[in-house]
Order: sequence, then structure tokens, then C-alpha cells
Amino acid sequence: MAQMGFYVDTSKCTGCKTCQLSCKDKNTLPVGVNWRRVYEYAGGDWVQHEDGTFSNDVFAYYVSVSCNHCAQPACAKACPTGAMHKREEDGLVVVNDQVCVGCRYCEMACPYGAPQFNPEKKVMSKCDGCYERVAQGEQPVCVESCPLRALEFGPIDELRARYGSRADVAPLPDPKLTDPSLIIGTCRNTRLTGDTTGKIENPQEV
Amino acid sequence: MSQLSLVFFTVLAQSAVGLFISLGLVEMLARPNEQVMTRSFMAVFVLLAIGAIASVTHLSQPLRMFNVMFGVAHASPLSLEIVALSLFGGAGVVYTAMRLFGIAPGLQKLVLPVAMVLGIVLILAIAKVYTLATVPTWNSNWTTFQFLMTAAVVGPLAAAALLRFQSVDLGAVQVLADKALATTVLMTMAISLVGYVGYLFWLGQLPVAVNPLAMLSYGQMLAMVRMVLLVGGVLMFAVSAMRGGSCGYQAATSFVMVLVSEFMGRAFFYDIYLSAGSGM
Repeated sequence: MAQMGFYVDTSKCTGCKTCQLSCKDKNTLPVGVNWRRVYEYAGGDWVQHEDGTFSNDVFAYYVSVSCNHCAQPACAKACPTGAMHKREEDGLVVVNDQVCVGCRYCEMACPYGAPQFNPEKKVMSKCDGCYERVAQGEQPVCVESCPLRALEFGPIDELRARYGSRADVAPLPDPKLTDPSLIIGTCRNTRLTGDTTGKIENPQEV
Repeated sequence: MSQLSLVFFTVLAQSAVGLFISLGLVEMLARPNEQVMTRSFMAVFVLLAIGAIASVTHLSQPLRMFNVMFGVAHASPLSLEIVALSLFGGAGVVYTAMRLFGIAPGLQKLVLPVAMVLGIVLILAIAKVYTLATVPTWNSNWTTFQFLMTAAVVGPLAAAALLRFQSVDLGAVQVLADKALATTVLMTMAISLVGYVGYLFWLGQLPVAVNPLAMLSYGQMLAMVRMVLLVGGVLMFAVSAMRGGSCGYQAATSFVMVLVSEFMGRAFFYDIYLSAGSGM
């Protein structure tokens, strides 16, 4: 089984949210349901120097996150019906919406906010890695629409060989919790998981 | 107040277990009037049934509720919770039916403790659902402690109220059972209160991005009202029991006060949800 996953380059991402919107458009997602979300993580303060002058150390960067199709998905483990499951062929985590009871337990368990309740269908929904597009040799719609080419999708082993395996970037949780199929390309402002100097600046959007 | 269905389900299921165990202990230690106890045991299933209905209202697709059994295959905590609920409910109903129809009195003595143990198993199974490594504010033994204490404080009061309403048929056993239940609930209240303070301290020092105690604007007020209701409810009953009182309405009021206090504590528990992803 080739585990598929995403690479997100935060040094390229400008927070334009084209990935978020193209995903929403392709999957006809209702208001409030965003399978891909772009977190704006920012912080900083005024710093006083020895000569009494001040300068600031403000920083900000964007992290585009969908489902990370984790090797140990907390959502699938929690799901009482098996509707949330990991596909054998590509390791993508998808929901069988004919089985889901809409208990939202997967939503509680996932630390990435990936499973989201669809109020129209009354079942859980989430990024499925656009597996139908991928089967036809295309890329997921978020990857293809990114104007900065900040996203990549493919076998996670190949992506790790190219970009390393860093995924412990704020505001993401400790990757040890679920072993996400995600690699974050860092930028000069990158803060690591557990950082308390910054916060998510667009909580209403995500 | 984001998970009211679950607030009602968990508190009522745990209260039902507490009531069953309290009645079981009265039955085993005092051997009171048979009919009174049978009627009292039936009340357990009223609480459990209301809790079960509340749990079904939590599902967005209630007609598919039996799908939750599929998760037993991969040991989903929620599926195991439903199995535990069925086992406790089943054993309890069997025991009560055996009493009602006078079936195998010898075997009843075995079924009762088995059902009581299954009640504890149910509470542990409910706690397991919420001890998620990805939810730091829930991922501790404080979750198990709180769920057990709900049973421990509500159960004796519910039992006391039921027995007081039937005190005419109970005779001398009534005063004995009343005092024993009052002593029990005074002790469990003390443990519950000390634990609650410990839990709040633990929450306050969690190494997470957001201070959980600062998340809720009403948190402090709720904690205070909760403690006042708990202490007030228990003391009202205990003082009366120690004086040999037998007013059913008084015990029922204590039961309602403590039940409401547990609802408030559980609403706080659900609202304090914080994902390991800095609130992602």
C-alpha cells in the first residue's frame, strides 16, 4: 500500500485560500464546512534594546491543512460504525456516508479539525484526497489550483525523501499523536508545535 | 452547553448505576421489604431509559443507531460503551424481572452483584470514550474520577428518596437504611469536592496553548453554583436523616439539587473541550 500524503510549503503560501475555495467548489460544501483550511499563525511584540530603543519581532505565516490521512487516524479509531475508514489501496481516510450515524465522535478525536459535520446530509464529511481525480492521473483540486505551487500530493515516502519529515509546526499538534501523512516546508518565521508566542489570527475562518 | 444530549446521557446513566448499586447494597446488607425494593429497582431503568433516549438524540441519523455495533470489531470506545450499557441494562432488567416474578431466589443473589459490577464497567467504558490522547483537557484519570463520583453522590440520594416514599412498608429498616445512605453520601460528597478542586487545579496548569479556565466566561460562576447545590443538597438530606426524618419530598429535593449540580459539572466538562491542535 502506497500511503499518499501532502507537502505544504509555508515559505511559498501567501494565504490566498484558493486551495480552500477550489476544494469547497469542487465538493459543493455548505457554508461552514471547509475540508481544507488556511490557518494564519502570527505573533510578536515590541522588544526594548539596551540603548532604550524599541523594535518589533512580529511574525506571521500560513499553514494550509486538510485531512492528513494519518497512519494512526484518531478519527477512524474513534468511529463507532467503521464509516470513517482508511482505504487499503492508498491509505486515504474517507467516510462512508451511507453508514455514518453523525455522532461526531471523529470530530472530537481528530486534532486537525479534518472531519466536519455536513448539516445538509447530516453525516460527517472530510477531505478524501480527491481519490477519483487521482485515479485518473490528476492531482487533488487544491494542489492543482494553488497559484504559488505551495502544495504537493503523492506517495508520502517519496515526498519525505525529497522534503524531510517535519510536521511539528505551530499551530499543528504533536505529530506523534496520529502520525500524519503530512510534511511542512518551513519558512523563516516558522515556530514549532507547542509555541506560545503566536496564535491563530483567523479563528472565524477556519 | 454544546453537548446537552451527552450531558444528560452520561449523568443519567451514571446516576442509574449509582442508584442500582446503592439499592443493591441496601438489599444485601439490610434485606428490607421485597416489594418495596422491587419497585425501587424499577426506577433505575426509568433513569437509564431517559439517558438512552438522550444518547439517541445525539445522533444525526438516529435510524442508523444500530450501526454503532460495527465499531466493536476495531474496539471503538463508543461501541464498547454501548455494549457495556446493554450488559448493565440487561443484567439489571433480568435481576429486577427475577425479583418481580419470584424466579430462582438463590440465583438472584448471584445476578445482583454481577449487575452491580457491570454498572462500574459501564462507567469505566463511558470514561474511556473521553480519555482521548488528542484532547488534553479530557485525557486524564480526572475524567474517570468525575464519572464515578456522579454515581457515588446521586445514587445514594436517589435510593434514599425512593425508600422514604415507601417508608410505611419498610418499618425499622427505613431509619437504618436512611442513616447508612446519609453517611455514604456525606463521604462521597467530601471525596467529590476535594477531587473537583484538584481537577480545577490540574486544568489550570495544563501545558496547552489556551488556558482552559479562561475559555468559559461563566466557568467560575458555574463551579460555585455547582458546589453550593451539591453541598446544600447533600446536607439537607443528611441532617434530616441523622435526626430520624423520613420526608420523601425532602430527599427528592436533595436528589434533584445534586442531579442538577452534576448536570452543571458535566456541561462544564464538555465545554472545556480543547483539541491538541491549539483549538484547530
